[in-house]
Amino acid sequence: MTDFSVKFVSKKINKIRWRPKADVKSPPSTTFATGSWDDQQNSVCLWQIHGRIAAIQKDSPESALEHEPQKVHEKSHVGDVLDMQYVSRDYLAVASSTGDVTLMKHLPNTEALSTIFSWENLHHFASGANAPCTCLATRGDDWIATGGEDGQIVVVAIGQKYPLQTIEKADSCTINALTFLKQTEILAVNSFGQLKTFDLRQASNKHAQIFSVTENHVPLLCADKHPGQEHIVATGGGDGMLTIWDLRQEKFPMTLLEAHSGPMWEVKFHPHNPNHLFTCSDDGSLWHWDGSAFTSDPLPGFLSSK
Amino acid sequence: MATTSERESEIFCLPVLQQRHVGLSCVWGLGKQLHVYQTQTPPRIVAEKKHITDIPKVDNQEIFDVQWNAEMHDVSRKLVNETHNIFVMLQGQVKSLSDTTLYKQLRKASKQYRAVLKACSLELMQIADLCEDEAHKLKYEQYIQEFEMVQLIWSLCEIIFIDIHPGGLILTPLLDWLRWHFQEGKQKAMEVSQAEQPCSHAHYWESIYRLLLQGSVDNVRKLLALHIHSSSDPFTSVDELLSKMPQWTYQRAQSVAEYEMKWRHWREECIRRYEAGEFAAYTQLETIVQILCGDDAVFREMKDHCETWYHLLVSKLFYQNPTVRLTDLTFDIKPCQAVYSLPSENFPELDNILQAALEFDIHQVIKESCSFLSSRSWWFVSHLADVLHHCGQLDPQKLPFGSNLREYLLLEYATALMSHKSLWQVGVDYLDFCPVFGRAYLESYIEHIPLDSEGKAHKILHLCQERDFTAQAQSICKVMGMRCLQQERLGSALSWFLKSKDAIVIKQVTDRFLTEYCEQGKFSHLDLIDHLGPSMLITNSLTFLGKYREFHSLYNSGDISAASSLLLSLISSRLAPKTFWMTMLMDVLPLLELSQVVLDVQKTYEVMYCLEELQRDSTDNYKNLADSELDKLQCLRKALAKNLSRAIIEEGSVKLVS
Repeated sequence: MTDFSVKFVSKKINKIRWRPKADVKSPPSTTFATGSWDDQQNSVCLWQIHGRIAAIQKDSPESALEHEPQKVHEKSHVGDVLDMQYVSRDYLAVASSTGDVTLMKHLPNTEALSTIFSWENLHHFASGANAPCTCLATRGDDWIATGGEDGQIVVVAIGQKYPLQTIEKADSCTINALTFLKQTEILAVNSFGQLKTFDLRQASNKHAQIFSVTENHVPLLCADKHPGQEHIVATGGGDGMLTIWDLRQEKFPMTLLEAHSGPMWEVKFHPHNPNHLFTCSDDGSLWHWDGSAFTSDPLPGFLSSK
Repeated sequence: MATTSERESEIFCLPVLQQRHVGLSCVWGLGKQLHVYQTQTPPRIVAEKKHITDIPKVDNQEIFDVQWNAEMHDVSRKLVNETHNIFVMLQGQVKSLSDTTLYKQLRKASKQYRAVLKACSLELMQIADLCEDEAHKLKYEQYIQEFEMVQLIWSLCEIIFIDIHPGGLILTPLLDWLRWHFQEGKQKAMEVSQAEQPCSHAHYWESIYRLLLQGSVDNVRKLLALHIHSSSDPFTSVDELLSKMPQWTYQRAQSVAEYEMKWRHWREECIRRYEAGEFAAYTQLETIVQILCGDDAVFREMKDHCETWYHLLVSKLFYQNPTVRLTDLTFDIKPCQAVYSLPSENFPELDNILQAALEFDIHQVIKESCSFLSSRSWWFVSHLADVLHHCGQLDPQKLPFGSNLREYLLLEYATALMSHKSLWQVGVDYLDFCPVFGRAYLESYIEHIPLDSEGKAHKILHLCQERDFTAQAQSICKVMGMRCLQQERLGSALSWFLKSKDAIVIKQVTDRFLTEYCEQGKFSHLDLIDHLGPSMLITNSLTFLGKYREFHSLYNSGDISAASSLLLSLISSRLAPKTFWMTMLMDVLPLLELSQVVLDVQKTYEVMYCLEELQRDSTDNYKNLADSELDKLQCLRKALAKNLSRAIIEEGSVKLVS
């Protein structure tokens, strides 16, 4: 059973992200950002756990996890934080339930964040009201694609005020997660249990391909693509089911795995070791999946180990 | 429970425009929230004498959102979250563990609660130190004081009600309690011992007295050793007495009687030495030995060093009757209280609570705590009552309105949590553990939680599914769906309504889809309609929509025969809403104009029958058919007649193969 330590904070956290390392050779990151939701005053906070890394390096007998994260900065945020992604080491994009996307920067030499730019009203309903911006995906360190409850996908570039591209009516339902498959191809999952791919080079609104999970339309809540093979995608659903897709095949997924007892909110492949997959869910558990037992076939299935 | 009548009434001032014949009315919000508004309700006297038309209208109405006990500071929220964790684990252990192991866990839980309280109060002190605003600082001081009081009461309750050692003395933990909560003696001693000449320090003797009254004999000896004359006879004599003082420890396994005997011998020695005048040279040493002898008069002198009657009580008993039992403590309370003319600090209620605890009157403790501490939060009484209940110390009898005391308090606490914008998730868990009313409360609260976003709605749905609240789950889906419908998001609306599995609302959406088609000539939301799958069969309207779309895709891909048979089956099955029949019949027209005969005789008759039914329909839809519509119908009749003739010929003829 792995070690873990618990620290109680006063707000409910929706998203939590590690700050990326400066380069491959740097030591592991000691800073992470959290975004809160469902509160009268929400905030984006920065935390540090210096003591922990130092303890690991000194091989000290005390448990590496005894050092608590310390809050070093708190920045208030309008609306719930629905998604957060680091675009690069210094820039953090935050999607809000008001339909805005804010770009924040880590100030040099201090542990603080400041807002560089804010794209407002990226998502809105036909009636004109603001729609929550539910997900973000980053491409390289300049493009950000956003999806919202209005079913639109909007692509913005850092440094440019107006969106680069808007795919209106991309989806009839709420888009819950986005990932870039290739430089110009995006994958979206929605509340109707469908997976769609879009080609940004084409001007039309049509999706290139559309896939359905199962026949009872359970919402798909998160998606991640395989780091090496871009046609392999993992998604998590509102019933806790993990599905692995091969996009080269028609319509239906490769593997369906019943996992959690609650909705699965995030799924991530390990960036350097793609046989390992992590999922976390509303039932309060984090699962580590290990597919390395099946080395002969490309990616037929995964074994779970808690 | 008389607590409701004993609580203070709260007064809220609202800026309401005063107008004649206009009163205030209100409606409950979520939990501790009222929506207050002005109404036209006239006073009764006026209504009787004047006409109702005379009552003026209320202009510029405002709705006031009144909430109480709704604010929670960051640190209080940490307290809530952490203790929620402890609470849930404890309830799980109650279900699964046997009595003896459970008892250990209850003691552990009580200590954990206290640890969290301590951590929170330390954090509050840190924040208060850093705070610069005077008004805020005052508020923090208030919070800190409250936390301190709660810790004082809880630790005493733990000693008396929870952490009971049948073979032990009650005074040992009580002395620990004193040392923990009255730190002044220790602080002064540290000051003194670091000074250059300790014995001439202003607080030297004071710190010695304080430590002695708390039973910290070793520290007293250390301080005495710092005196210049510590090697003289009186000092060494006192030191000897102190070192010979019998200590009660659990490890030595001595019985209470043995200890008492040893203690009596030791006390007699003290009295003997005192009366022999060994300490006449130093009045302070005399005072020390008088304390050791348990002399009443000297304790009255020491009242300032004890600060409160309960400190005096414990100190006095330690030196007069160390083997006293818990039940006998009550006899000494009144005399100790009499020593102090004014109530300690500014809180006579605190005194009452502590007195009730020392008198082993749990219900009084809880009652007083409710009225004193609950004005801000029910946290303390509800968690304490829960632990006491599982210890078996609380009377499990049902109160007049149906639940027992523990449940009543937990319900109050959970209500406060449910009214909070963010802490409702914590409140849900508390309601789960209220066996009598919890479920009913939860059912009505869940329906009122504001559904701000889809993510939140998903979480609440998951809560409902875990607890089998099917009616509430359905209503949440319908609310979300209706909201989508109002925002013209037909696709999202359909997906929510499908979840609710309610045929009537699904029909609303499909009707909208069909009207859209009629107006725009094409379908929107194809990604949804094409992929309905088996959920298409939930209601007739959805089946029709799916099949109709299938007809279009078949027609567009060129599969005419399949398309036409599908269309005809749709027409004859009467799945479509009547409003749509016109469109479908018009769809038949191009099929009739093809070179080959697509509709055979039977099918043609069916279409004609349908057409007749439509025209004879005397509902409002068809009374006022526009001219263009009538023309179209004429065209259709002609085409049908032509087709009929062709079909009859074709069916009647025999193909010759040459």
